[in-house]
Amino acid sequence: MKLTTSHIGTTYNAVIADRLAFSDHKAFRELLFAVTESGAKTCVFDLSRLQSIDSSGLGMFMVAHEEGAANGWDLVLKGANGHVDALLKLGKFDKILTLQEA
Amino acid sequence: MNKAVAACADVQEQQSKLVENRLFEYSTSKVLIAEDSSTVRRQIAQYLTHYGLLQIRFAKHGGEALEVATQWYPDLILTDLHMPVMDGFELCRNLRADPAFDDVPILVLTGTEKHEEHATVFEAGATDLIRKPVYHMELVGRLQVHLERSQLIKRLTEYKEWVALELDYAKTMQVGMLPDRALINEVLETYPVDVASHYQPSIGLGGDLWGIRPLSPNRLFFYILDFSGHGVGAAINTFRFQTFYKGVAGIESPAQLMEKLNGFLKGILPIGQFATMFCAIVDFERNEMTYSSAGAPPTLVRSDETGGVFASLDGSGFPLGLRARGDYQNATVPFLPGSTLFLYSDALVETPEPPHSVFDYSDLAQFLGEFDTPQSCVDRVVGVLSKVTEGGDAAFNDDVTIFCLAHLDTHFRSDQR
Repeated sequence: MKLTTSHIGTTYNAVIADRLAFSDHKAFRELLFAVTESGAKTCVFDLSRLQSIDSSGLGMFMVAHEEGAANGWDLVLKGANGHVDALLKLGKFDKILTLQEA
Repeated sequence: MNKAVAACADVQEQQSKLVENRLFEYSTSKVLIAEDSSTVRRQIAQYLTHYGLLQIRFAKHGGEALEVATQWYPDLILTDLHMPVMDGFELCRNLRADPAFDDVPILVLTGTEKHEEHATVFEAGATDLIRKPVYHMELVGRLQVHLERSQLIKRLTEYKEWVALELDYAKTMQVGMLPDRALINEVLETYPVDVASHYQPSIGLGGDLWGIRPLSPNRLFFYILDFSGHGVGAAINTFRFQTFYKGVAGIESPAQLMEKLNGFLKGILPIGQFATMFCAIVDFERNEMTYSSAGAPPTLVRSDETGGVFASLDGSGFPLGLRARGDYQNATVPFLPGSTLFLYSDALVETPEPPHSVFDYSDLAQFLGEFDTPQSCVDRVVGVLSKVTEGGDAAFNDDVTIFCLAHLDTHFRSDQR
């Protein structure tokens, strides 16, 4: 996972690029902690440069969704495309999470 | 002057005690000393014994050292360089040629300051150098460092071997959950089908599973399941699933089973863990298949209705254990003799990682359609695997499971028997 973050106003932006997989679990948990610490009301995961994801990666989005609900911030997944978009649709994650076009 | 000597003696005494304490835990370590000078042998042995190393053996030259080493397997070898019969260089080379001595420290005693010789000693396989004449504190200090390292490597190796044994045992248990030969034969005898499968965990244990269950003389149930993640955690979830599945007495429909399983998994899986699944019942009397999917990779079906090409069934659905209500639906499609089904886990379309994978969903369907017909299920499974691994043993980075089922023409089946 290649991660770039910024915090503007009440929105925390995280560009998650390349691949999100089981081995990124620790870094992802740290990201969620940073989002909560920032006091942001919305967290946007920009997935437009995320090329692949495994089932653990999809599970991390669910963890982020729950973490946000417990700590007062909403999660938005933005710009998923290709393989990542196909998996989100296959598992109907778009019915549980908030997905936005790029 | 007397004060200075006394102070120096005090420091030596303190140093000595410090090293002595540190060597105490290595008292059972076996040390082999190869040295042609009996005076030096005796001196070194006195030092080592003084600091608590009790298992010491001697050799007068490299040849004798090699003989003792291969019979006694010391934990550390101290050797002189220049000895008769076989020198220290040759001894090092011989020991390193034997895998049993890969991790055994060889400390070379040398009186020379020549850098070229030092380099040659290391090239021959020595671990470290100790200057002659031997200063007891340096000798014992280095021994402590190398024995500690050696013991750590030994413990790590033992731990790795233990873990490998445990994983092998768990793997046997997991493979035991898959349909065995007797069940496959029963299926082949009872129904007009050909079947083939492939199951390959990525790291010994996996989060995939597939199964098959005769429901009646005309109805056959089967599934393919993939828990998120892979390795031990995902494997434990397959055992949890098996506990549930074995307890299900009757399967009314695929969606009904998945709704029950979803409730079971939702209650035990932590947030972020889930399973994708495709399951179906083929009714050979009605020539149809009823299926349901929980986010599994789209199952491919080839039949007259699909125009003889492999077409994707809708695999979309909430993965199991993700939310309280799964809202799983049954769908029914014709499944006449001549039809073929191809079920697979996501590793088949994610190797190597997207976007560089060999197959995406449509590539896989097209590739399967390129086989000459009629083809056995085994040919299709082997063909797809060979394509992904390019005919070699390239490892998948996730668990791989494939299940292929063909509804045979009864006449064709009879000819085959």
